[in-house]
Amino acid sequence: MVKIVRKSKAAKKLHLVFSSFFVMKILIKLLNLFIFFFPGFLFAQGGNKYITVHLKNETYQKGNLLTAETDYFFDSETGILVVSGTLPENHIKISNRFGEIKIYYPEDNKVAIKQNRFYSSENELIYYFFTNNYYDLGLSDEGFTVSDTRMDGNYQVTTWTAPISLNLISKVELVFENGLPVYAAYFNMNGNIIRKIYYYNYEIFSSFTMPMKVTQISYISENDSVVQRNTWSLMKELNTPGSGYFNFKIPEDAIVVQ
Amino acid sequence: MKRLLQLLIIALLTISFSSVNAGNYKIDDNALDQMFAGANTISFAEMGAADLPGVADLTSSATSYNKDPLIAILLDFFMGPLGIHRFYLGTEPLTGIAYILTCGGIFGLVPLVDLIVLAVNYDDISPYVDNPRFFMW
Repeated sequence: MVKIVRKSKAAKKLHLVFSSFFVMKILIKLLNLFIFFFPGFLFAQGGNKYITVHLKNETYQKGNLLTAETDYFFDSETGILVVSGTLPENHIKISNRFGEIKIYYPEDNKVAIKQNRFYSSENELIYYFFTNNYYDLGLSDEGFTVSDTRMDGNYQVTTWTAPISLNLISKVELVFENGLPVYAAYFNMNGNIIRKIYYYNYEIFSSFTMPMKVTQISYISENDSVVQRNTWSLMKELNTPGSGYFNFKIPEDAIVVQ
Repeated sequence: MKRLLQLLIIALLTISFSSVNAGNYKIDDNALDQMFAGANTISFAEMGAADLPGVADLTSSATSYNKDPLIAILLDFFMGPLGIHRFYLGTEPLTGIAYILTCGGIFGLVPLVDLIVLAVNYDDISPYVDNPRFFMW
């Protein structure tokens, strides 16, 4: 004998509510995934794969100020970074993600070529922001490990312990506000801060968010320090190369500097 | 009313305590502008001579093993992230440029290490003179 169970109206409504709630939860999770991956997806798909930006570096110490300006040209698809600068002399630097680097001096028609993982375009500070990979700003790649995470008001402070091989720095504190790095402090083996870095003036672009100013203070002694401020400007995201620097080729007759 | 007032006081205290260290993570950019505006603008060539009379010509390509460790240390102090001390000690142009363009390594780790190495090996810095390697130590 089959027992037919009829649900009451209330039970039906309850079932409908729970079903809707369950569906809503799934939709929210899918939305979160989409939001998380969308910038990277857009970047990877080359929505704006060419990025150009201008950098002004100001270094101040004991009343003296040195200013240097460079232009960056980054092809996100190939990972090739071209930098045009004038200090100490006019030069064009070309690096890729494999650490192959060439520096060309147009006035002398000379080129220096090297290969080292450190020279990789993926070690540039701007790369971490271009690819939204700024949770550790490269510390883990250098052997640092997370030893502590805490909240300081609205700020999240993450402490990274230096690898044993780096026996001059004990730890780095990275501070985040609203998920973006705003401050970093380097500590020596005595626990004293030897360098502070501030990230600020964040701007939102189509596929990434970046601090347009980064200021670094290095403490030389109790009464002396060096202040360096990097100001990024004229940021452009392009679908096509907007400059010849993206396809810059070093002349074949350039003299290779050993 | 009394309960509301208590909640308000607690909220204010919470906010005040939560922002105690807020200023430690921010920098006054306007103050930097003023400091830079009042500074003496120098060129790259002048940089080594500033406050260091008698410094060898940094642009000279002549190789010399008579490098003063004190000058190297001071240059590292002043302009470590720019790799000026490496130019003074003698290195490949690529190495010096790499310092400049990468701020001496991620967050300037390399000039910091250079500084300690030069200080520790003050009596004999010959291994670091004309050293072509990025990591001279």
